[in-house]
Parts: sequence; structure tokens; C-alpha cells
Amino acid sequence: MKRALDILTLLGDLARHVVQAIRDDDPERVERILPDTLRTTLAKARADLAAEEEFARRRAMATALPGEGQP
Amino acid sequence: MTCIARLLDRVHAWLYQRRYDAHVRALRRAGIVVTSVVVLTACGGVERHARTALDVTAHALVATDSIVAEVYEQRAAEVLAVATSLDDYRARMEPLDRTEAALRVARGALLAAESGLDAEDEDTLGIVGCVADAMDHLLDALAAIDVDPPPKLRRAIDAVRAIAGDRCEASR
Repeated sequence: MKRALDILTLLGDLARHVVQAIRDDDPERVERILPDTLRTTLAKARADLAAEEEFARRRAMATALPGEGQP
Repeated sequence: MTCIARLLDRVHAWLYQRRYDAHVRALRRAGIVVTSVVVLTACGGVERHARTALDVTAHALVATDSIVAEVYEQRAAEVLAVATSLDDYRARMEPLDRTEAALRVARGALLAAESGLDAEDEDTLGIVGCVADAMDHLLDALAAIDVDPPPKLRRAIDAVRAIAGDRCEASR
């Protein structure tokens, strides 16, 4: 009786492992894993914008300095 | 007294042997379970393996992207502080921009490979091989900016190469 129970338990474990293995092995779709826009692309866009604004500000300061505050 | 002790020893040894046998049987059963699982999961075919490799590679790419994004932001701030002009800034940022482009190319290669698998193209392995090429290109770009690739990226490339070898039919 105990042996029969052991075998049933073993079969149950086997079925559970097989189902789990199949589920684990089910590959996820790439399009669902990858973001629409990469974080680095966003970082580059932000950095480019910041650089353009910074150099525009520097140019504006450089052109404004000679006459600024002078009568 | 010695006789009783000897008897007890024998009983203990017998019990131990029975327990040992039970362990051996359990291990044998576990071996059967493991073998069954391996055989059943190995029966997925090339397409399933290719999809699994793409899945692993996509996760590796996302991890790499996170690392590079942080490095990009940090270095952009450093370069902006010392660059003398916008052209100078762009020239100094070129290696990082190449890495960003390599990430985008790798993303595109992964999506293209998945589309190829969906369409059941004849040369599935050739398309998947292009993912490995794109990832190799990304590794070169990472080396150029002194960023260590996450170990999972190398493992992903190995997985793709194991399936597709050095084939990249789409780019040739």
C-alpha cells in the first residue's frame, strides 16, 4: 500500500516537473521584452538637447557680454 | 553485554542499509525524473531553441541598455563641462553614440529574427545568426567605451552561436 502511494507521489511529481519545465521553457516574445525606445536612446536625446541648449546659452552670453551693462 | 551491543550494532547496520537503499532508490527515481524532463524539453526543435535564444538575448540587451544609459548620462555631463563647442561635444561623445547605435541595431536584429521565425523563412538560422553578429558589434562598441558587458550578454551570444553558428545570411 505504501509502495503504491510512493509510486503515485512519484508520478505526481513527475507530471508537475514536466508541466513546470514546459512552462519555464516557453519563450517570451522579443517584441514584448524589448522597449519601444531604448533607455540609452532616450539618454542620448536628453543629452543632445541639453548640449544644444548649453552651447546656445554660451553663444548668447558671448555675444551679449561686450555691450552688456555699458552705456 | 558485548553480545547485546553487537546485536544492536547489527540492527543499526541493517537499518542503515535499508535507509541507504531507500536513498539510492530515491536518487534513481530522481534521475528518471530529470532525464524525462530533459528529453521532453529537448524535443522542441530548432525553432523553439531559436526563440529561446532570442528571448535570452533580448533580456541581455535590456540589461546592457540599462548599464549603457547610466554611463551615457554620466559621461555626457562630464563632456559637456569640458567641451568647447557643440562640434567638440559631439566628437567626444562619438564612441558613446556608436554604442547607442549598436544597441539600436541589435534591437532591430532581434525583432527581425523573430519576424523571420514567425514567417517561417527558409533560412531561419541565417537570420538568427545576424543577431549574434549584431551582438558582437555591440561588444566591440562596449569595449570602446570601457564598459564591461553583463555576463548574460556573452552567454546569450554563445546560445545564439550554438544554434546558428557563424551564419548571417540576411546581411550578406
